[in-house]
Amino acid sequence: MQKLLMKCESVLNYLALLAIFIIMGLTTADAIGRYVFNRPIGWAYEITEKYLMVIAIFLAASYAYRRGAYIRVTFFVDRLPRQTRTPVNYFVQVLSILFSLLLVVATTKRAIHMIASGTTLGLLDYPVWPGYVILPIGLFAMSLLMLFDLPRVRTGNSSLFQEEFKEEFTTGEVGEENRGGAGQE
Amino acid sequence: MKLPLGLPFIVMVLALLLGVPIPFALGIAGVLGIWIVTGDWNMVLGVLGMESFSSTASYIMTTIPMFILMAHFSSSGGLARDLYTGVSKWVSHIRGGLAIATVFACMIFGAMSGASVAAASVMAKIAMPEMRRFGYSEPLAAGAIAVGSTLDILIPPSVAIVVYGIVTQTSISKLLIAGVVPGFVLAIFLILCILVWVTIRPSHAPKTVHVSWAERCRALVRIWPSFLLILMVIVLLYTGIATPTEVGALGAAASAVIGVAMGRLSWTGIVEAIKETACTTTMIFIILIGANIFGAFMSLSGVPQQVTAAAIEMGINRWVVIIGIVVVYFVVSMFMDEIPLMLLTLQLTFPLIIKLGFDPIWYGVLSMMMVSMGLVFPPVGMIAFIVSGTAKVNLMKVYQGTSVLVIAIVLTTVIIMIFPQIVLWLPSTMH
Repeated sequence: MQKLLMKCESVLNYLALLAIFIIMGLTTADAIGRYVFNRPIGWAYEITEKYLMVIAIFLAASYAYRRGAYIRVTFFVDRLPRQTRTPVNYFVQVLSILFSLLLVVATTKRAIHMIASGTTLGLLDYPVWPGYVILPIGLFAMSLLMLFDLPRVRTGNSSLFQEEFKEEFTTGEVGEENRGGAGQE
Repeated sequence: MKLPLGLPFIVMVLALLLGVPIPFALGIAGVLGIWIVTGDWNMVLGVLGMESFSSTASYIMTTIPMFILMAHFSSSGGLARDLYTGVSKWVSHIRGGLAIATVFACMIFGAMSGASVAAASVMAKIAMPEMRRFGYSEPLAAGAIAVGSTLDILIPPSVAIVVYGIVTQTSISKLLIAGVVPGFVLAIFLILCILVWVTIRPSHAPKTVHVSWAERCRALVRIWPSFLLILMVIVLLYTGIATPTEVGALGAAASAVIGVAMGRLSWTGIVEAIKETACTTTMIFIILIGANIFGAFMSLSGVPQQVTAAAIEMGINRWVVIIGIVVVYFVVSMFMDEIPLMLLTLQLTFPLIIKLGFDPIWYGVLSMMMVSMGLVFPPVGMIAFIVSGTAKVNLMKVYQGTSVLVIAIVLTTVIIMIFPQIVLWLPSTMH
């Protein structure tokens, strides 16, 4: 069950990556079209704004969570003794789950409202609601991951408490450079 | 019973101290605040639903992922290595020359990348081994890399400046161009600091190397794609031919093309760069959503207006206010990184600053200076962490170096405060 959900989640993540790539391509084509050929892509703006940006951000929400990108102020917590830190971390994890679920409820409500209203984009006759539907999907995936992580809080393995740069400390790995580095010599 | 308006602020600080992720701490405090002001749960849900969408679905916001993507393409495309090699050949005969080359390379790389974090990890990978090889001390080498990387924040493109522009609704093109001259000033101060340091303590940079003129010229040949990219970015921004968003997308596409054409950017490299971009972008936007929820509470409650009115009523000299803000920023930035810090504080400080008659562009650049300081200064400094982790230098050694070289940032801040024209002149010549 959890495995299947993780598969779905990684599909969402790849869609987000694709959206970023398309934003780059579309905006570039639009700019070149406008200034070089005097023929801008009229719909690029709206598609980017109302669909692609939302996909890029919200469908990557669970990915960013897994990577430990949700920055926290750890200065004080790090100084707590271990037996106090664990309950505090449980509290933080539960609070985060509750808040994300609240976001899921709020964005679902908004999406239902938009579907009912039938609003369309300005230039194109496409409905606005698909953009709004993306939000609860992405946020729900993130909430699920947080929920799965709840039992891992005790061992300190919840992604919420993994920090991107702390990880680099121990493994000595650094994001993009490490991979790009191979091709640099 | 009406709960006091101060409660959301207390809840936010407590949540932050307990280690609740910054976006959630802001969001939770905002939810509480909106509920206190309106007493209506439907209103709370309405704001949450609305802010989540409107904080992201905006064309101008696209600038953020595009600048980040450009930074990642530039850093994995090997442009930084060519730059460093090219520049170091020209200054290696001076004592401390390799550290100076690092500053130059950071500055030029800053013009191809919008994320100081990317600059720090790239430069640590490239410049550190070279400086080690020539016997440079770790504090000097790591310090030059860390403080040099903050140039990336000032020199356009810059993600932090875009975030400032979005939050305060200030012209992003003008803000970006405004960072150019202060960037140069900071680079000059930084080089002077390095020179003074190695003159007083020559043991930090024992060796110098002489390079023939022919070799120097050969090294320049490899740099031209970088210069082409930089020229494109600056010219398009300055002339206003393209919007910042378009500059970001064009820059990202161009740096990817250069990387592929030079055979240094593989398909996996591209995917990895986009993955990094997705991660960083989402991180920023989730905080932005939290900040906007909290912001909705603030505007419903009228707290910023009250604070502004109170500050003006007290009749404090406006310079005292701004120096107070600088000090507070400096302290808070020890515990928090650039973008959360800005999103957290601007809603309160910006209206006050404007009311006191300061220029929004000037304050934007000043904020960047404060942010830069926080990034390299103990106990929490993202850039110091990255340099330490990437270059395998003890964090304390990095801090030793940055606490000396941070003087350059302090001097630049003071100069900008005394002569605001340094910031405002270049954008004032734009149309």
